[in-house]
Amino acid sequence: MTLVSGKLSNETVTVEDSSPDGTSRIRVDFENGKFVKANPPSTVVFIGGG
Amino acid sequence: MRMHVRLAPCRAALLPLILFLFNQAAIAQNADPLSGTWKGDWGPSATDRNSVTLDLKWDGKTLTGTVNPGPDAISIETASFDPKTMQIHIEASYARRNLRYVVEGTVDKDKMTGTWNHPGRKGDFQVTREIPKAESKQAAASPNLAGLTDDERKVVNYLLNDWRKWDEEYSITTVDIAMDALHLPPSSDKRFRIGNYIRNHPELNEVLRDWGWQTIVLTPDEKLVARVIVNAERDKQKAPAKSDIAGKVGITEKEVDEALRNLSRFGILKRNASRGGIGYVAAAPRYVNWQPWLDFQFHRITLASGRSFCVN
Repeated sequence: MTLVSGKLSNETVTVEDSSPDGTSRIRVDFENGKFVKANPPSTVVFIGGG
Repeated sequence: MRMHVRLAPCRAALLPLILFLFNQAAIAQNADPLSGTWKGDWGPSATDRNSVTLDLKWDGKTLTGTVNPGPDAISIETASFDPKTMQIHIEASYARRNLRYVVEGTVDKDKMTGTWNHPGRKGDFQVTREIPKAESKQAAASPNLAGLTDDERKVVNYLLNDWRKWDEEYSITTVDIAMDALHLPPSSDKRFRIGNYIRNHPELNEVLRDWGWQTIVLTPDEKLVARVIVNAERDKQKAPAKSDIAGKVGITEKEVDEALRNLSRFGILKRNASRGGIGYVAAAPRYVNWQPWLDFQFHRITLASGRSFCVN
């Protein structure tokens, strides 16, 4: 998230991931640092980080 | 008697070269296989692990050192190392708990694995030697890529260049991404050869030492397939069927077969029909508890330009 909202804040970014202990794929799209959508829709995206 | 030896010009020119090569061979042979800082984990089971640091000093005859240097350091009392067999033996007392540990290990280049025990408990450990930064920088600046084909060298050089962006992009880009960026067709055999090279050369970059070669070499499909199998093993469940794995990971059964083939080649999974289901288990206890090294994690970033890289 630091990267998406920082160095890549002017980019269209797709993050492909998986929950650390799970096996389901997660895809999250960002546009200019803003969250656009997540798949599966039940994905919980924490904006902010720290 | 006075002897007068005269070498033919070409032989005379060769002599310094031969002496130089002999000297280099002697240096390589005498390289210290043990001294330095070793970091890794130990524990009584695959799911109960603890971090450990070993500071070792080997003078060619005597082995000394400390376990977990710092306020709770444990001095090594008795230790030995046989450079012929690469076997190490350590005995150390942890006064606070009145425990005496006996450790037996085997050194394989910059990896050390083995067992430990004290009255009442036993387990295993694995540690990796840290490469001094100056040596690491030199290796990264001019890596020895002997044995690789031109395409494979391009992939390794691409990775080394990308990993240098770690400070600003946290890049831990993987082999499959590098191959794709270089427009090389997907090839498990090529990735296997590059992967083996990377596994044997942790001095190339800090990314390899911090995140493990598995993180760099395995594809997301392989990491997820490994997770499905080792998580079942960790939870003491029957090994999942191929169709279950395909469903959970979202790939075809043929792709599961391909992932299993590669995970076996890399020594991460092994056949064990007694587990039922797909009949594969983790090839080493540490893979059952993959958290300490996060071997099977991936966070893949793709930009609109098409550029992809992985981050930590």
